[in-house]
Amino acid sequence: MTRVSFFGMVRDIIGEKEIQIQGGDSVESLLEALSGRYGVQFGEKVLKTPERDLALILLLNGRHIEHVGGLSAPVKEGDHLAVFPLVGGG
Amino acid sequence: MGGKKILRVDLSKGTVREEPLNQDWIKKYIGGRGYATKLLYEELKKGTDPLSEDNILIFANGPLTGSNVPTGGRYMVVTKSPLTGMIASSNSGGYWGAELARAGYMFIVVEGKAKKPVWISIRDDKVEIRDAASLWGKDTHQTTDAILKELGDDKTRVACIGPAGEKLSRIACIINDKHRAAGRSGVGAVMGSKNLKAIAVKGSGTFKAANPDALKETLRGAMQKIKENGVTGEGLPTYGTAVLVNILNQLGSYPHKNFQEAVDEEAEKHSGERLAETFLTGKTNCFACPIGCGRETALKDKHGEGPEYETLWAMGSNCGVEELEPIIRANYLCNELGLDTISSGGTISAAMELYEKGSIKKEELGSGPELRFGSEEALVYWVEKMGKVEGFGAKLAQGSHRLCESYGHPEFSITVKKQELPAYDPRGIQGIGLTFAVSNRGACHVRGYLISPEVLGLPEKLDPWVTEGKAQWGKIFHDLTAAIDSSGMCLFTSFALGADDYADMLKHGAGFDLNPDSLLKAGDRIWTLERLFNLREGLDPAKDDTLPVRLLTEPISSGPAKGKISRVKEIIPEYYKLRGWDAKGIPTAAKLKELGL
Repeated sequence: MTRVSFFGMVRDIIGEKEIQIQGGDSVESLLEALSGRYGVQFGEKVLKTPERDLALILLLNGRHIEHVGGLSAPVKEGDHLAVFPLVGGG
Repeated sequence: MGGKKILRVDLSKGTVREEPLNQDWIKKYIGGRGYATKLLYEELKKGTDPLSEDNILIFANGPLTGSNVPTGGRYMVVTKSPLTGMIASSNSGGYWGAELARAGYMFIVVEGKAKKPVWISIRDDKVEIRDAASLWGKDTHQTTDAILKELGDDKTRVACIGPAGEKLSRIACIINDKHRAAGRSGVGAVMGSKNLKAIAVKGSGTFKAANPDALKETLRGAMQKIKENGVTGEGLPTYGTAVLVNILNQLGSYPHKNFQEAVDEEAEKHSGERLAETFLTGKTNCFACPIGCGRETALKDKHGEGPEYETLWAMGSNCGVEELEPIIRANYLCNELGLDTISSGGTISAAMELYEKGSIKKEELGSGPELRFGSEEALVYWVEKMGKVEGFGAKLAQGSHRLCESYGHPEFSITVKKQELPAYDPRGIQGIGLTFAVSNRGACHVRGYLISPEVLGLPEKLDPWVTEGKAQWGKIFHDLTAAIDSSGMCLFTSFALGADDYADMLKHGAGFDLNPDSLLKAGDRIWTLERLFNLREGLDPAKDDTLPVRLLTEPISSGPAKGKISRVKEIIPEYYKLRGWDAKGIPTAAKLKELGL
């Protein structure tokens, strides 16, 4: 199982803060599992495009996925994925 | 151009006069932060006591302040800082700066010291120095209301100080429009030292673009970029800056308990998401801003604006306080009493560490609550005492550097150049540590917001743990920011816009002959001149361009960035080289010649 936390607008869209999900062995397959669970809403409003030009910040165990292999980053039992919308500030 | 004159006010003599802009300086330094730095450099004598009547206090608009370019309402306050002893350069939004432009002025230069408290009334070119006896001692909201009542005009814009500035707290700010702050480096104390309580402005002019048709076309493109950008078009308008709490905490770079830790297990309690569910009542925009990051909030007994991300962290996690109610209350107190929230939180957290480790004794606190991490009561009580500069609060009001030095523990003061760090742990985010270390006004995140590439991935994702490449990114961000701060626009637009957009807006809006390269070169010139000012005031690069020893030697104890320390010392030599400075951090003669300095 993988722990997935949702923040900002993503939390509002999904209506949940945190879940445990069985979702394959990569970030990509985990996102597919989330799409399966939340349906069109997750695909259209969170992932936004079929190409997954993500307007998201995805942290796998506190590291941006860009630095651990991107969408193909390996996910193992007990890992934590944090899903943020693209946000900013100062 | 937004305002074409300088208003010079000599409070010792009680005189006001107008001066034309120096067109050569405008070309080289743009306006705002840049032009004001040049003016301060030329006019302030080396070694001037920042709280003496010899200091100069400059309110500085950019050439686009008061225009219809997106976020064209910013102004700066530039002076010698009583906190750092170096340059102070604080930026604020709201509506005051735009009103000053409508009155026809780009700068107000305040000299001398009034014999008794005064305020300045500006109504176009009618300028009066008026008696502030009845205002002295009032907070910023009471002062604003009293001035508007006296003028009988609620459209006038007021910038003022609270009791903290009057009583020369070195972390006092200037508040305009009740809720916006020129926050950092103690600019409010300089205003207080001059017995100047407020400046109220009303203007009737309108902005005239250099090339209206070309500007219209440029703005169409710029507005589209701001609308389509994930941060400026969606993230900031929806959640404000507060949404950063959870992301920095999840990264393990959210300083906790005076930077003793970098993860706050209860951060969710004071996150932007929680704020939206609880105390948030509305959103606000500054002048001409299409983003609208401001937040309106309310408690049972009062309402106001904020807290922003920095304040949520400074009053919250850094003091070990988790619930929103006391953080919001402390934020309101800072705005009313005229204190910088970042330095206030950084000072209280340092005091809590001093107290818990036995340096501050209970009896020193009088009847006040013990300064323990997590104490909501202590946070609110001591912020109020600090803002009123009363009792032990008078010690706190001098900032954490002076406080910790007085107890023989300078290492508990998490400061650079005596100014408190903002809400990012540079052990887990290496590049922002460079900005903190070399920022000319002391520790600051908005002198080059490397959080954008290192955390948010804009304009591209950089690994926050590595040092390679950060010197180059730092220099570009520092130069671009100096140019934006000089233009009169808000730094937040830079999530969506680039140097070419700013050059075009300055060109078509204000008649500048700029392209992206010359814009960045102007930024380089401004940054370097600030450096020259600091060197003249005694900056020692080896001692001052660094981070607190805790961040260089104590690894983060838990979380995703466990084991990390700041390696900023690896970045600085390359940064100096890129700047055209020698190995000791001194600008070379060749560089000064290249910049026309």
